[in-house]
Amino acid sequence: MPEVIETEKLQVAYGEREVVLGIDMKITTGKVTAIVGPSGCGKTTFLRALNRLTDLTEKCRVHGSVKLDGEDVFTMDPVLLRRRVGMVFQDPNPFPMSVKDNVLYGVKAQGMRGSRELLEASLRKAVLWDEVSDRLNASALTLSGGQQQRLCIARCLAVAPEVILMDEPAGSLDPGATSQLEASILAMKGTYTVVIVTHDVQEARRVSDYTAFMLGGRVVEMGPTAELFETPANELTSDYLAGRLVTIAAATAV
Amino acid sequence: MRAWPFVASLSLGLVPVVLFAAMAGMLVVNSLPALDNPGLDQLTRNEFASQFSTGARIYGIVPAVVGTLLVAFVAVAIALPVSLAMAIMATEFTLGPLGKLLRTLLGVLGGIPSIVYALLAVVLVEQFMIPKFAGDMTFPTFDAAKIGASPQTWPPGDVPFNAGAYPWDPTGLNNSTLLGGILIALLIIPFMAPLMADAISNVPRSLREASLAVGANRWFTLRKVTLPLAVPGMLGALSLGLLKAMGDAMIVIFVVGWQANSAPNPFFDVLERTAPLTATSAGLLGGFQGNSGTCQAVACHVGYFSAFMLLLVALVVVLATTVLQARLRRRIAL
Amino acid sequence: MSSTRATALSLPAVRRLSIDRLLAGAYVTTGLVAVTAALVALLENDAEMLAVPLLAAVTLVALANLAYRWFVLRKWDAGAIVVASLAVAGALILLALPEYLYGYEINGIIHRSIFAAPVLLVGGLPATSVGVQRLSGGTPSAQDLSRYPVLLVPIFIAFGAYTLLLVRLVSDGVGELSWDVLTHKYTETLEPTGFVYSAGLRTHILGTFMLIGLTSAISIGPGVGAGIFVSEFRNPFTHVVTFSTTMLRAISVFIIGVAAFSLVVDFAQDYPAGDPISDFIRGSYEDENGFQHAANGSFLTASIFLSFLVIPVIARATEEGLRSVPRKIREGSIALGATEGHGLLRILLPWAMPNIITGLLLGAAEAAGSVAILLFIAGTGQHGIGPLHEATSLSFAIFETKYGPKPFQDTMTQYQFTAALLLLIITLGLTAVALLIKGRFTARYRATLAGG
Repeated sequence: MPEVIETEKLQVAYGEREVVLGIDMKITTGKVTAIVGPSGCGKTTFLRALNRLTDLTEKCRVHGSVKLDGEDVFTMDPVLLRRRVGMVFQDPNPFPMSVKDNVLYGVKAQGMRGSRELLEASLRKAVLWDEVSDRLNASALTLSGGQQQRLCIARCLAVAPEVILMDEPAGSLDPGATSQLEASILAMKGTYTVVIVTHDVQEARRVSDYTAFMLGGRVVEMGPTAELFETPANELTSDYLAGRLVTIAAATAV
Repeated sequence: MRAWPFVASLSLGLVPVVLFAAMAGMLVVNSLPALDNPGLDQLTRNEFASQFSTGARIYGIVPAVVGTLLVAFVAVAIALPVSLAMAIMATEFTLGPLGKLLRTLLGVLGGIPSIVYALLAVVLVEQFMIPKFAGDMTFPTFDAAKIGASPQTWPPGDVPFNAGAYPWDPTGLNNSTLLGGILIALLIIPFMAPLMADAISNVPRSLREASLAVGANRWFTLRKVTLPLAVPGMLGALSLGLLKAMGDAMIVIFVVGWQANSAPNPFFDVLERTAPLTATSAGLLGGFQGNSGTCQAVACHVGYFSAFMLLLVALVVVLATTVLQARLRRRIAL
Repeated sequence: MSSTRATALSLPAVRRLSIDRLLAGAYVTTGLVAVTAALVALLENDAEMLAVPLLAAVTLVALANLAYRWFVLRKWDAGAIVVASLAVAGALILLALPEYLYGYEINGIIHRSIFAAPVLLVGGLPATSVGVQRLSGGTPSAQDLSRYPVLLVPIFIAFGAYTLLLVRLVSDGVGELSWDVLTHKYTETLEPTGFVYSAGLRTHILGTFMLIGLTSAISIGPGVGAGIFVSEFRNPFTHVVTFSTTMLRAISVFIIGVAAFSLVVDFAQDYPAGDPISDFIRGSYEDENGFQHAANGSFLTASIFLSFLVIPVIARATEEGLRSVPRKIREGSIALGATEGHGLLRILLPWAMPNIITGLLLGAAEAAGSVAILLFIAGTGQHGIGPLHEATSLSFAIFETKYGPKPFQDTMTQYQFTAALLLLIITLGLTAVALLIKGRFTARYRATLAGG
C-alpha cells in the first residue's frame, strides 16, 4: 500500500480546548514525512493521536478516523497498534536497566525471548552498536544524551514496527549528537516509515521526503520536501520556512 | 528585620526537637534503675508474671517483644497485599470513577480511631474467631463430640490451656494475636494504601509512556517498570504501617490483654495471646487500676523499660528504612 | 508456540468461535462461583461443603478446554493444565483434612473452612482470569482486563470487614442513643443510702471538644513554625528538625502517653492539691465536703501532650503546602523587592493555608480519638469541664467502660457503642471537611490568589 497511515478529519480536544481541528493526511510508506510548525500548533498532539497515546490523558477526546493499512486504529487493541507504530520521544527515556534489557524490552513484552542477533541488529540500525558493544550489560543511564536517544530508537526498532513516530527527537541533543541521530533516520528510509515532528526547519529539509506545515491545529500545506521549500504555494508557508514570525490569526483565514 | 522570620520559625521549629529529646531522655532515665532491679538477666527471660499475679514475680520482657513483633507481622502481612491492590486500582488499573471513589473511601476510613476498632473486636470474635478457631463453641460450654474427640482425649496434652489462652473467651480479654493483627490491619490499610498509590504515581510519566509506546500492556509495564521504581516509596509506606502496628496500644490492650505469659510455643502460633510491649508497659504503669492506679517501684521501672524498648525498635525501623530507601534510590537513579 | 498439523476434527470457523466463547464463559462462571464461595466461606462455616464440588467443576471445565484445544486446534493449552492442577491439588488437600483440626501444639480448634477459602480462591481466580482474557479476545489488553479479579478480591474482603464492623457499630450505637444520654452528665452523688450513679455522655462530649480546641490552639504555632523552618531555610539544623518530627510521628502515641504519665503521676505526685503545680498539671476538684483533691490530669496537660502528636501532622502539612508554591509566584514576590518576612506572610502562608487547615483538622481528629495519651491522665469526668478540671473525652469513656472504676463500668457499659458512634461522627466529620477542603476548595482558592 502506498499510504500506510491515513487520517480523515482528525480532531483532538483536551477538555474545552481544541488542539487539532480536523486534519486529512496521508503518510507515504517507506518515506520520511516531517511535520513542522510553531509551538502550540498541535503537531505533537496529532502525532500522539496516531499511536493512541492520547488515550492516556484523561480529558482528551478524539474524533475522526485514523487508518493503519486500511484498519481503523480506534477499534484495534491499542497495545497491538503500538507494536506496529512505535514512538521516540523528545527527552530520551531509557529504562533504568541495562542496554541489552532496554533494547529487548518490547520483545519480552510480547512474550518472546530476545536473541543476541536481534540486539545487535537493532543497535546497528540505530547507529549505536560500535559505541556500546562492549558494555551491553551496563546501565543505560551511563550513556550520554545522544547515545540514550539512539538507544531508544534501537528499542523501538527491535519490535519491527511498520511506522516510527518521532517527537522532536533532537530536541535535547547537541549538534554532534543531532547529526548522528539524523544519520540513523536516513538509514531507516525504505525499510520503515518515519513521521518526524520538528521545530527545526533545516533538519526537516535534510532528512525528510515529504513535509507538512501545520498552524493553529490545521495543515496549511503539505508536499514533497524539495517542492515545499523551493516553491511553497501558500504565503504563510514561505514565511515560516524562511524564519519569519507567523501568527495563528492569519492561519484561521486559511 | 530580615532575621526575624528565621529566628521565629527556628524557635518554633525547635519545639519538636526539644519534645523528642525530652521524651527520649525521660524514658532512659526512668528505665535505668530497671537494669539494677530486677536486672538485665531477668529482663531478658522468656517469662512474665506481673505484680498482680499470684506466685513469683518475674519481669522478663522477651514475651512482650515477641508479642509486638508477631502482632505487627500479622497486621502488615494482611495489610500489605490489600493496600497494594488498592493502590494499583487507584492508579494504573482504575475503572472510571472507581479510583477516585476508592481514595475518598480510604480518606474517610482513615478517620476511625483505634479505640473504635478495639471496641468492635467483639463483632469479629462472634462472627469469625469463634466459628473458625474455637470450634464454634463458646466457653464454658464445651462439647468434645462436636469436634470428633472424646472427653478422654480432650484436651490434647500439648495445647497450653493454662496460659488463659482460650481463643473463644467471650469477655475478649484473652483473645489471640491473630485477632489483634486483623484489627490493626484494618486500622493501617487506609494509611498505607494512599501512600503506596502516591509511590506509584510518582514514577515519571515518561517511563510509563515509553513502555506503552513500545507495545507493552499495562500489566507488563506495572511489573517491569512502575512497581520496581516505586519500591522506595512503598518501603516508606510499609515502614509507617509497621510502626503504627507496633505502637498501637488500644487494640492490643482490648484484645490481647497484658497478663502473665511467655512467648508462644511454637513461636509463630498466632492463636495464642502474647501481650505486646504497649500493653505490658501500660499494665505495669498502672493504667488498668480504674483511675487510682499508680505503680510500685520495680514494676514502674520495668514499665518504663518496656516503653523504651518500643522506642528503640521504632528507631531501628526508621533508620533501616532511611538507609534502604537511600540505597534503592541511588540504584535506580531517581 | 503452536504447530499446525492436519486437524483431526475440522470445524467451520464460526462454530469454532462459539465453542471457544462457550468454554471461556464456563471458565468465568465456575471461577466466579468458586471465588464467591470462598468469600462466603469466610463467614459461613457450612459453605466449605461446596468447595470440593466446585473445584471438581473447575477441573472439568479446564479439562474440556484442554481437550478442545488439543483435538480441534492442535494446540497445547498450558493455562488449562495450570488451572486443573491447582484445582485438583486444592480439592485433595481439603479431602484430606478433618472438619475440625486441633492439636499439634496449636492453640485452638481450627475449622476446615479457613483452608477452604484460600483453596477456592487459588482454584477459582486463575480460571476466572483465563476466562475473562479469552472472552475479551485474547489480546494483550484482554490480559490487562483479566487481572481485575485478582485485584478486586482483597479489596472486597477488606471492605466486607469494614462494613461488618461499621454496621454493628451504627445499629448498636443508635439503639442506646437518646436525648437524655446526650444532655446528661455522668455523676456520682453520695446519698444517705450510698453512692448513686447516673449515666450520661455530656461531659465526655464537651471534653472531646475541649481537647480538640486546646490542642489545636497549642499546636498551630510550633507546627506551622517547624514546617516553615524546614521548608524555607536550608541549614544543617533542618535535618535535626525533620528527624525529630518524623520520630515524633513514628514513635507511637503510646510513648507520649508514658511521658504524660511520668510528668503527671510520677512528678506531680509530690505536690499536694491546692499547690499551683499540682493544680496546673493534674487539675483539681472539690469533693462533697468542699475539700480540694488532685485529679488524674487536667485538660491543659492532656492537650499539651496531645499536641506532641498533632504538631508533626501540622508541620508536615505546612511543609507540603509551602513546597507546592509555584516557582513563578515565589520569584514574583522576590522580584518585587519584598522582604523574606513580608513574602512569607503575604504570599507563601496564604498559599499554604488550605494544607495547614487540612493538617489542623486531621490533627484534631487524631486528638479526639486518642486514648493512649490520655490513658494515665484522664478520668470519668464526673466533676465537670474546664481547663483545670479532670480530663476526659468520648474515646476515654469507651476505655473506661472496660478498665475504669467499677461503678462507671456498671453504669456506662451499655452506652459503649453510642459513645463510639458519637466519636466516629466527630472524627469522620473533621476528616470529611479536611478532605473537602483538600479537594474542591483548594483549586478555586489558589486560582483567586494567583489571579487576583
